[in-house]
Amino acid sequence: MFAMYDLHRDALLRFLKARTREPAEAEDVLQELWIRLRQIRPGPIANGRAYLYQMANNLVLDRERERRRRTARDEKWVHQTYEVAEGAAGEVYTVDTAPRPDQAISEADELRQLELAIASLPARAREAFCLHRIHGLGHAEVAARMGITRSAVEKHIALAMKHLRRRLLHCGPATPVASPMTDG
Amino acid sequence: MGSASKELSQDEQVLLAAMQWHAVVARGEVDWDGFTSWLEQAPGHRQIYNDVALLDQRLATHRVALQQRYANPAPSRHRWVWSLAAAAAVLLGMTLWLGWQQMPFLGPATQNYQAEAGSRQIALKDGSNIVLAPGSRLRVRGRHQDLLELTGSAYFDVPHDPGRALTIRAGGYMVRDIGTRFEVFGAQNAMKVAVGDGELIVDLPGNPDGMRVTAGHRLLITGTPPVAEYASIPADDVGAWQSGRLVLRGEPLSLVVAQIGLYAGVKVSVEPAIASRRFSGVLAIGEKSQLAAHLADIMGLAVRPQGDGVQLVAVGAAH
Repeated sequence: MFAMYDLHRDALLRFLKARTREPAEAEDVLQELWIRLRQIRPGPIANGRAYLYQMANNLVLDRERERRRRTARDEKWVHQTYEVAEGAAGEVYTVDTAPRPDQAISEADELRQLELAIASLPARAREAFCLHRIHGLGHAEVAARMGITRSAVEKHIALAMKHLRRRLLHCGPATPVASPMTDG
Repeated sequence: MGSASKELSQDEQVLLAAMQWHAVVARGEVDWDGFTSWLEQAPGHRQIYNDVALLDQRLATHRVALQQRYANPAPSRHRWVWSLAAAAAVLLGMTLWLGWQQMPFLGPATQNYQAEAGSRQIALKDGSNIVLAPGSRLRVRGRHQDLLELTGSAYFDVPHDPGRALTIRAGGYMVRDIGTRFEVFGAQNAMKVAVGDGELIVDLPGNPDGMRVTAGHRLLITGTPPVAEYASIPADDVGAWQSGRLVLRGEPLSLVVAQIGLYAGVKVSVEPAIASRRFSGVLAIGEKSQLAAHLADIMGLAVRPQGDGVQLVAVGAAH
């Protein structure tokens, strides 16, 4: 695996530079990849090159997810009240009630966010998006189901993705959200 | 008039391209040099790809709930009717099931098959062929040998016959309307179905239509409440374990350890805190005793003994 790594190091670094925010981060990820490889005992791995790239890509995605969670957590934290606890001797502690990063958004909240965002899509875009991304149908199948052309399907899906991106991934801190949504 | 509005804007084209790249990366079929070039084309591509991939991870986590919510938009105004129908169906199902259990004279004796260290070939009367993976059990019941119960993993080659009501219960779920080449894995509260040829339906709680799985796709169902994930896979993956390769694509560790436990011959579990981490890769199942260790190495985890088996834990978790 190390031979593989040496062989593809330059190409991997080039990939990572394109894949991350700045060259320093690309070097970081490459370093992390190397450390991970050290922990792997020589074992049977088919297609080592693809394996290295896949691992590098996953590392970048994990970092990005963590970064976003942290941002979301920090934004939430600003609005979090501190609970004040009184000790036995009368001393006062402040207790950080902010959730841990991995709990920043509960699963139920996350699902509700997704549902709200999907519900806010234009009807046809929502239909195309749900058939494609939630039910796993290909563009051609979606086109047949909806009785429209493939390019119309693409248009709907792109539109849906654009809305969801804006709504779910780039909403600013503490955007007041009115929720006139249906129940359940 | 419509054609102009159907034309994709620049940013929509980029979004679709990002979705395309994400799909091939997820399937393990990506041309990495091509992907690199695309990322280099514009600084914004990286961010759009991240957005698409992370959004898809979120969708995958909640797919069952979303599928139920957006399954059938038309009749949703009569939601309570569906609940009633579902309750009635459950009641009817239970009645039939209990009735069947208590009337053994309806069918011949149950056949139980068990594969020990090696896999085992089973031929049914109708010409179906089943290869039972090591450490797996199959129960065959019914007059027409059409009620199967699987614990572990098996590969099925079932001639398509619309008149036949073959069902397979695995991991607490039911597979029906079956044809033709596919594999099933079932363990406690978890199942995986991968279809190489043809298609089948998996019944999901609360979804009267069930979920159709077609050739070149796999369905994972894990956890309580259940979370289902549907994804495309190369058809060659299906049943690859027969030639010694266990191909896993983005499967949660809880499901991965349940599968390798079959081949390793010992019980393999995973610490709950990391059970939902994903693994993609190919494991050689010939090296039985090393399987858990290999997996731990690749994932940067540690192995510790637990009961009569082993457990994968985060490094540093056992302080």
